[in-house]
Amino acid sequence: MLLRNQGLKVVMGPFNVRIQTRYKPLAVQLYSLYKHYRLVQDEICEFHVCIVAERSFKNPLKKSVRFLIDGQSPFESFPEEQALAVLEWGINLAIAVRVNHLLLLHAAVVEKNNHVILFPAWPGSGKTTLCTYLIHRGFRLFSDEFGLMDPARGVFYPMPRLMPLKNQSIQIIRNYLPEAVIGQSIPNTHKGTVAHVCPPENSICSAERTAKARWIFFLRWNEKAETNIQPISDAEAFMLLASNAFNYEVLGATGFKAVAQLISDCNCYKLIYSDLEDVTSTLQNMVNEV
Amino acid sequence: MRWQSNHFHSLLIEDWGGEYTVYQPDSGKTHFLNQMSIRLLSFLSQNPATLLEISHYLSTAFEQEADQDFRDNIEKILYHLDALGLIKKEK
Repeated sequence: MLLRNQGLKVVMGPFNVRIQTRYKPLAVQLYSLYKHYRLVQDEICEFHVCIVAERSFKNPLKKSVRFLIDGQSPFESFPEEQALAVLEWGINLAIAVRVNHLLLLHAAVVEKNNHVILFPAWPGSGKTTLCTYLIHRGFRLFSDEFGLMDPARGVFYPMPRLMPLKNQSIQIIRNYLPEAVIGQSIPNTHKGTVAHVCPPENSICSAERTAKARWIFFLRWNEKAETNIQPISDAEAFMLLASNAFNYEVLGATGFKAVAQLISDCNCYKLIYSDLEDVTSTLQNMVNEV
Repeated sequence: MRWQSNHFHSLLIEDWGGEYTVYQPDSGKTHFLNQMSIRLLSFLSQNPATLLEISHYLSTAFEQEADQDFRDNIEKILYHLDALGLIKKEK
């Protein structure tokens, strides 16, 4: 009822997002996948998003959905069965475009023993798949998409959101992690088939606990490769990380200092992997040695 | 012709063991420079200098012969740094 009328105010890490929809199939999915998320009532929301169902004049029998943020539509409409994917992409877009008080890295981020590990990577590098596996093997999810660094304090904010597995990764994770809570598969999106993983409850419930980064792995998945970790120079890591950030240039000197601080604090590597168990074991050993 | 630095003291420079990242507030750009370029910028921030003077200073600092090849390379670096707005020709 709330979702349909004034909207649900969902806490997503440092942000409150008001989600509103009258589209019932989406509401059912949201109540299932968002059940562990904290809701707020009287707090201000940074983002106001909405999914509306509509019919086109050309094909009035076919329903489509449209994402709105503050009443504006940044995308074309999508087939109705893609509503959840569109909502999640829309929220990501809003964060990527609007958040400029934090350094915003395009990275999967997990934490263990109070140390953050960053996996900066471009789409298709396997960061969501690896991240999903790690958080079901003792690591805490910060994000599969955004590294949110506070430049003043040097800490990362968790923002555990639904994680969109794509194509063959869906079955891989279903095979490896039967305990994972995964939403229904959404075929034929512009990224292929997508299915959303719900973060473990402990990651969602400890989303206010920040931590500093200790390791940076520039990630690449290669089907035939054995786990390969190579250290890289700080200067190369700096340039890779700066070019990976969504808002490095917008932040100016603040962004430069934040990236420099991060590189100084972290050990930086290139990581090529294919075997989830192997790479997880390697990372666990590394964390435990500290 | 003499070269001079361009707002050298406004640059943010991080030393990563002989490789440098340099933030230039005027352009908002970050540059990746080697030790010789940084020494050159630093030298020009003290006083404007000609290609010959710069080549002499750097050849001594890096223990290299200040022959024509060396001077040609330094000239290339100068024009590159000029294009980035890190140095300029003295008027």
